[in-house]
Amino acid sequence: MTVQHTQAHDLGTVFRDHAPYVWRVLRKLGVPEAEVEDLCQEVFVVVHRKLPEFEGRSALTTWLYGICVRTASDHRRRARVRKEVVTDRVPEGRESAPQAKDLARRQARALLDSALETLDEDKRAVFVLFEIEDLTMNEVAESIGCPLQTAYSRLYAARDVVQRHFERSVR
Amino acid sequence: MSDDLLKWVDDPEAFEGIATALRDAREDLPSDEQVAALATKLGPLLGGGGPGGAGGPGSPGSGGTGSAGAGSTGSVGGSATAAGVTGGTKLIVGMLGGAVLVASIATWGVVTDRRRVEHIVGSGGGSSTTQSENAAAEPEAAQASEAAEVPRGLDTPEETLGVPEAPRGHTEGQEHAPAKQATRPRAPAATDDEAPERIPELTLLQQAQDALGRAPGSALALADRHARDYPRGALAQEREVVAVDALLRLGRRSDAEARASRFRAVNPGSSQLRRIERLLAQ
Repeated sequence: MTVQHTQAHDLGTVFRDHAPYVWRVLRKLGVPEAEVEDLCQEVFVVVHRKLPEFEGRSALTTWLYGICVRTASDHRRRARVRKEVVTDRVPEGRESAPQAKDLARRQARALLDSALETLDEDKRAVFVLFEIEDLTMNEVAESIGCPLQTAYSRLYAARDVVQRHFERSVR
Repeated sequence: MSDDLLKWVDDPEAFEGIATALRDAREDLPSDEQVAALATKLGPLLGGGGPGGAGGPGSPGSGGTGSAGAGSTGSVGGSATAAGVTGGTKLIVGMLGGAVLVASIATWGVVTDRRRVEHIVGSGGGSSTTQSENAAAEPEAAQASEAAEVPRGLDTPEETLGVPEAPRGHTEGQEHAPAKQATRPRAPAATDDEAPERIPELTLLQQAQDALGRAPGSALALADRHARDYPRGALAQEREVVAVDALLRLGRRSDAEARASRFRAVNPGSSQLRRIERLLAQ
């Protein structure tokens, strides 16, 4: 079961394979655009330290998710006072006919981001990993380190919050 | 519960807009500039020596074999220099045990993200290196001398002797926390109202490493500064290696052995402990 860690998983390779991935995960986990670069760096410093211990029991991406989740979680605890830089949402009241379709998409994205912000860390992580990063629920549970049933409960709760967020926007 | 739950992006009954937003979110990637900047910050950790880098033991990448991999590797190192972390290759190669980092970078495959990053890093590092290199050198030197002038106590609290890799119950949740401190002050040249004096963790340790040969006293002061600023930093164990090395170079063997003993007590299984013991054996 254990896949031997070899030099195929050196930090340079991991970076080249997964830097954009890590970036996106962090963004979806609520790290503001202005700080995601620093958090990415932090993730890869942890990866640098922990990589020798990575034994391949899970996919490398799953393992990275776990680090991202913990990094983002810690970041959120510390960065609440800097909420003012969190958003890159589409400003309100700037719709115009020519870009209506594009704006609708951007607003949907903004709605998604703002919905994610309302989720607590646990629900958010499950939602992001399942719905955006396309992990299976088994992988999600493994990444988060929680029972599968718990992961499902969090996913359903998160979905409920996100859907209500979207529903409110069209009322 | 089965694992075949339909994802919202594939669910035609998902509420309007959600599937689209999720689909877009899946394509949310950093810009080329952002990836290049990240590579710059991580350059030394990524193991690129750069064409003119210090090179580590057995560093085939720096030789420029003509392969795509070698070329990009060099650029990564160049970017690292631009970040004002000169000497990083030497430090990190030492940390990671020699040729592993540099040698393995040549084993790239074909992965979408990877190729993109290779392209970005390969094209972004070269152009900016030269001008940034000089700009970065002075503040770095100034920081080093500033740090060297501030005497620090040598009695490092035990909890700072390495990363908090408590064997039980401690995971990255704690380990990575200090690393955030390392990254928060974005770059050596950046001025941040909140943390004007803070040197990034990696840079600070590299400065200490660089100072070892010519000024072990400064290296020790920098290591102690690291211990103060990043007591549970991601590179705390590497810091202790530098500190022990510096003490030995200063002829303070008993202090070195005492520090090593404390490190051994906290990090009995650490690979850095082996390095420390090799130093003591010399």
